[in-house]
Amino acid sequence: MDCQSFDEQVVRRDPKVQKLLDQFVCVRIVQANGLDLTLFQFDYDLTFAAFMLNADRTIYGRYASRTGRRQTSQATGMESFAKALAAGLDLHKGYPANKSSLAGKQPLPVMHKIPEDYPSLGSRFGRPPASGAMSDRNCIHCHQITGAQRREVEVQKRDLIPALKHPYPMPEIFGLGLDPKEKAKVSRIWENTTAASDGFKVGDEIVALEGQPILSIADIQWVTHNATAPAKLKAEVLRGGKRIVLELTLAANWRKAPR
Amino acid sequence: MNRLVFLPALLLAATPVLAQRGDLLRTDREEAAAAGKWIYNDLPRGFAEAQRTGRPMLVVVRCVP
Repeated sequence: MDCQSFDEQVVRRDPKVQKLLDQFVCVRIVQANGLDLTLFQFDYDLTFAAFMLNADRTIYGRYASRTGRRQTSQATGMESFAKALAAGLDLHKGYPANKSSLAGKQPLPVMHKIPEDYPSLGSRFGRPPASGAMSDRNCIHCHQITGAQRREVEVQKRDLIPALKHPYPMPEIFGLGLDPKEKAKVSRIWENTTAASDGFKVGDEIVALEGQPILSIADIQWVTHNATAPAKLKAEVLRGGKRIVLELTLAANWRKAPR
Repeated sequence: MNRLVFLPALLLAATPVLAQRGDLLRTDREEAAAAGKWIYNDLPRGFAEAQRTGRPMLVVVRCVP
């Protein structure tokens, strides 16, 4: 399903998703002007990203994936989105008793609070419009945030850190293929890869990574993107109805590693 | 001199794109409104509604092409 069709299904078509959405307060943000970067941290090259959160700003989970247009169907779909929404509702029911398990899902310190605070964007777009207002002539696109981040690092003559060079790689980079219809279920393991040597198997369901409940492939990407490599990440996996613990190895150069 | 020549040409070229984007945004807003459950481009209102109702929030960030 391409991004446009997926978005249409989310907004108004898919009946199962619509029923789940009735249990949320749904907000649609269509331009990055004034976007709170201290809260909404994701791969800004995406054209669709979703966050489930509490009114106190605690993030329950993310949904979206870094894929090229041709690959969108490999990572997104109504089935997995509905399952992520249902899992988000479960986390909300268990909140705040489960708050400590959500600590790793929370946003990290950022260079600037809103896109317009980046010099390259502020000089071009000025200050953000008031809440609820939009500008069709002066719209900041999400991908421009990535560009502004890179530009700022270059201006400061700092090395471009790997996370900015290769943001949010898909789990395939470890040899871990995940089913686009599920939250995070292994559908393929490539031979001679990290995932294979770490003991992952087809059918495994990754339910937590580094203690964070996993609602989607995007949640896995969040953990790996923000990990300090080299590292061994604790993965809690459902296999044949039993919960087992594996380690997912991140080599120092994992973002560039060939599968 | 070059700037004087190119600036009007650039503005002329950009006008249809901006108009098209305005149309896309209007359509997108109308479709979201028709669905009946979306707060459009207003995060503070979303937070206030979530506080009031105790419901969780779903925030979709979708750059309209």
